[in-house]
Amino acid sequence: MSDTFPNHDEPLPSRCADLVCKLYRLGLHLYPPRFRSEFASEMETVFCQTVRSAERQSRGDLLRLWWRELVDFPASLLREHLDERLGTGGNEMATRLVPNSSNDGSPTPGTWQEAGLAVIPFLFIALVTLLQALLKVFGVENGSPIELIFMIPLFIGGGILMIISLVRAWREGWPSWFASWSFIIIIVSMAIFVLLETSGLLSDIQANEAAFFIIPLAIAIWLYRMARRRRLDAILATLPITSMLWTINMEMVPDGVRSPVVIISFLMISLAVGLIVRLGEWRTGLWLALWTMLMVGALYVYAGIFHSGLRQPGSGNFAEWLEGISTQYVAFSVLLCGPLLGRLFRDVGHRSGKAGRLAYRMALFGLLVILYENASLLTLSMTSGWRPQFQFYGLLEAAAWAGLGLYILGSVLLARVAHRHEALPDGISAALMFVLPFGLPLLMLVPAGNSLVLPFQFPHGMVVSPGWSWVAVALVGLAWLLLTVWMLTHESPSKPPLAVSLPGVVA
Amino acid sequence: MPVKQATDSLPLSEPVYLILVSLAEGPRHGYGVLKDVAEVSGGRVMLSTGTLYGALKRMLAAGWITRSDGKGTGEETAYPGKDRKEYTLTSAGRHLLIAEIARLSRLTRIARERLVVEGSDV
Repeated sequence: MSDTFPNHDEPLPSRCADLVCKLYRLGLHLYPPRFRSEFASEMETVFCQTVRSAERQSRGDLLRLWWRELVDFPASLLREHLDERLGTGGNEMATRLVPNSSNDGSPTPGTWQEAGLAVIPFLFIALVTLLQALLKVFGVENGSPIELIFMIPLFIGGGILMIISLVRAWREGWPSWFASWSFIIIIVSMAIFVLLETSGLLSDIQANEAAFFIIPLAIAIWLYRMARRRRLDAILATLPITSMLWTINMEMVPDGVRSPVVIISFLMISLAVGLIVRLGEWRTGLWLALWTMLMVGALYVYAGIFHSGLRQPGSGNFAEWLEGISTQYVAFSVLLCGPLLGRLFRDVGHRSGKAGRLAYRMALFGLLVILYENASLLTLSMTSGWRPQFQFYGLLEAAAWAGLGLYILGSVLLARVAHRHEALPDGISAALMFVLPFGLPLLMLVPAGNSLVLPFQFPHGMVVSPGWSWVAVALVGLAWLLLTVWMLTHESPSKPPLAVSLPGVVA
Repeated sequence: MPVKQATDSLPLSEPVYLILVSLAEGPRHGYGVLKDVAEVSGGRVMLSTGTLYGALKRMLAAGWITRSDGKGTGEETAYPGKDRKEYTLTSAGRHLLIAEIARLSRLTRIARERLVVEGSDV
């Protein structure tokens, strides 16, 4: 073999070669962090070795080498950054064969420091809420100079902390601990739309269209992409978003109740996020996230039902609380399970031949529509001026129903094809994949009896729709949720990627 | 089904094919692959470091090759302390190479037969 390295007797690299190597080392910093941490050191060694070798040959060889590297450098950079952004970890050629390039099945426990970094935003929100509540207790009014004296340094400190964390996360290649920060990006993007509206750059309708269409769509696609890359990250990113969805119950709730609920909720989320990062195991993380969501939801719905919230002003009883929490819980959990389900579809589809790939794409498209619709409730709960008045509403509604049809058709087809290709671990999983898709649209049809605008108001509509037994809805929904989580956490291990045998050739 | 999967990833790009050919002889370091690819292709294909490691990354992700620490043959580099990883063809990579060779052989055979029919001797 010819991969020998020079020995002690070889001349040291010339000044020029040394300079070129240093420049190359600097250039390597432009590669994505993950690629850099994996290959940069090796690339530098090989490049410098090649430079030395060319230097020994002739000046022409050296110039050709530099030219080749110089021309290829931007293309390589672009390729690796695209790979990183698309979360493929490999090009089409590679992913076609082994699509599940991120094998996150085994636990990758985070350090205590990483767990600490992950919980910073939640502790910050709890701290701000606590400070606001304390100032109110001491009679300081909203927006008064005294409040600003306390709040401005806190927000400046928070901003600096966020920038530092952002830079650190970028340098570390967007690690799992940063996934939990993602909801801040959503809040910031919504704030930008609000600013554009208040500054007059966007009209009221334009801002609402943007907030109602662009942001939820981005959230749906982004969560799926995250799940495709690392399931743990998707769970960490979704947990705070689902918690934000509950805030719709808190409208009209007095501050004396709202503040303790928010503080306790965010402390619970901090604890869950810290534990999930520390354990580094997505299956446990999923159960923990579901549990936390339930606890947070219980508090928010309690405030809404018993303390003059939006749903039942002035009244409230245990049955209403149970109704509110169970139905919304099922609806919001779709956002948590959906991206993971999308990844499962994809993995199974790629193990089931061409028909499987077609089926999974159909199912995935429908699933993304459902995720979009659930995420749209987030903007509904955060933008007070929303009205179903923008011009594409009818088109979107039709697309959503078409998406639902594709979801059912694709999932059922995938279950059949996957069973034939033995791409699922057992018959129960195949049966579940066949049956479960029907559960979600069934739940979505529930509010139709109330002639509410569908499907965009699904979770909220489901809660208030008359003529339907909420107990039945809740039971079907919870069964759907538990079976879905069971199916997600019992996926089959990847099969060996290739088994080719050619006559007359020994592999 | 598995055969179908193998043919799905064909044809291979020239750099990937040459890297697989290079590793078919045995494990190599990155620099060794670079030199061998140039040699095998008669100096026509000179991979840049970026292309080589981009391809190696994707091949690792696909499970066609594995990466391990160099065996430490006692050779010293001019850049001590730097990584010297060794790349090895996996059984999946070997199968893929065989499938590509079979594909190319079939094309060559067909071309040769047609040329013979037309009266040229190849």
